[in-house]
Amino acid sequence: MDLIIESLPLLGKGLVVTFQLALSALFLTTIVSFAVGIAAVSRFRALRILSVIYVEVFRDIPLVVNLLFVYFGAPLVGLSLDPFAAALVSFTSWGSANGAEIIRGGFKSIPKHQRESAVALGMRPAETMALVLLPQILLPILPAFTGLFSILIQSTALATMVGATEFLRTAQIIVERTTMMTGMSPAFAVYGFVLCVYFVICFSLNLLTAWLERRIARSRSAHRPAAEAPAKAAEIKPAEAT
Amino acid sequence: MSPVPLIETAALCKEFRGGIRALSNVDLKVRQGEVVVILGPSGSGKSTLIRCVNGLEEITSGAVMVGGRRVDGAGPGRWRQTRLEIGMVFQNYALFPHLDVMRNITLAPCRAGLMTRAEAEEEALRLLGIVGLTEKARAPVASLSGGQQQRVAICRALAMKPKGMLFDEPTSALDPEMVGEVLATMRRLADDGMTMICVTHEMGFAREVADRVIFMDRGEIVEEGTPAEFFSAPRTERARQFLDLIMRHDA
Ligand SMILES: Nc1ncnc2c1ncn2[C@@H]1O[C@H](COP(=O)(O)OP(=O)(O)OP(=O)(O)O)[C@@H](O)[C@H]1O
Ligand SMILES: [Mg+2]
Repeated sequence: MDLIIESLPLLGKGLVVTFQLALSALFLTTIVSFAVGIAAVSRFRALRILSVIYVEVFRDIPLVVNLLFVYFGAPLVGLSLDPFAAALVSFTSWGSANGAEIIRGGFKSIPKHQRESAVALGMRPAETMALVLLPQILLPILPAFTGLFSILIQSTALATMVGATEFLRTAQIIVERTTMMTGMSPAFAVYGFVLCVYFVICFSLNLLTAWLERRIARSRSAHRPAAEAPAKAAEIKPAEAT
Repeated sequence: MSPVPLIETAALCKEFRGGIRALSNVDLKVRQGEVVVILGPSGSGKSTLIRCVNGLEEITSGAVMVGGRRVDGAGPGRWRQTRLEIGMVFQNYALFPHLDVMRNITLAPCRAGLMTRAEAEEEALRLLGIVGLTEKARAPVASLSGGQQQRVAICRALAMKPKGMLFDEPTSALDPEMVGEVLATMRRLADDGMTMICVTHEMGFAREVADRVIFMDRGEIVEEGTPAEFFSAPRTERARQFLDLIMRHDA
């Protein structure tokens, strides 16, 4: 316990790096996810294909492998990325591939008549996207998206592998140094503390999400039940599209 | 009666990917103020035809003219202009669920720069008044019944001040007790002189409101005439069979 209190400044520095990494990764992931997800439902075939390739490539490669590849591969193409930058690139590419898939799924769940009726009203494609389609997916994708956020935050610990001195790495350093100096390993206590911190962060995020969802649901609850009506009509008449 | 038809198709063909021929050589002329009802069995190309008129489907060959001007092949700008002039009502209403009734109606005319938000809201209230839904102006869309939603959808299209309206089975998704209120709205629109193309299975509406009935089968216009001619003395065998089937079903 004393050790942890003594090491708090150091751990705190590590935690700050973790927060910086997590927040930048979440921010970039969100932006790229929307860009790639919107490209997935674009009118332009080339954009749709690019989007599919992006999503498949980055979703089908384990994040650790992606990270090692970016960090050790970058110098080969003349880039030198520091551990933080490499981790950020890697987390963002992996996160946004998954985020884009969530967003694409959100768009797919919108009945096609939504887009068509906006188009039939003379709305431009960008207006249709911004005013009709996007607002409809935000609430449905929220749970999956914050789930992704939580995984991304947890994944920042992987940055240790390329030597970023984030939270977990500082804990490791403390454990190693103390073991060397005292001959006793404080691993249990230190990693236990690390575990608790990650848990508290992600658990708070989950609580926040649940609260947010409930709030939004309540603000719309007045008309939720009947919301199913048009969808039902669509089910009864599936031949309508043809 | 203006000499140039408001909506015209010439030798219109539509083939879907996979070689499905949905329309072959469809010639259609709809005059200003005319109400045309399109009848025909499922899969005969009724929806495809009216969707070609406002460019929701890309045509394979032939021509689409609106107000005497060729619209196909002239790029998305011309189609957009056409859609501002020709409203469309879908079977499933397709109101925007994240917006209230008022905003559903005012969104497109505001975006298109046809009117200011205040003007659009005034117009929306006027239209809602006509269809008897004034008190629903601020209601969320999903709190409305199907019939009410469809009437709002008609208002939404009318707020663009279109010269013509396309209806694709506007009552087919409704519970029977709500069909009447939507048909009444359409009837009123027709009385006010709106140019309309309606795909519908409502024979009563076709008989009483249509100036002209068009019968389609397998992507072709098989027969057309006044409702009186068509319903009492169909000239083709296919139309007779179709009417027999419908009448038996309705009885
Ligand atoms: N997007 C599409 N892709 C491929 N084929 C289509 C598509 N839409 C329609 N078709 C085909 O084109 C033909 C005409 O369809 P259409 O929807 O115009 O018929 P309809 O007369 O409106 O029928 P219904 O009364 O069932 O609505 C059908 O054979 C249909 O299967
Ligand atoms: Mg149809």
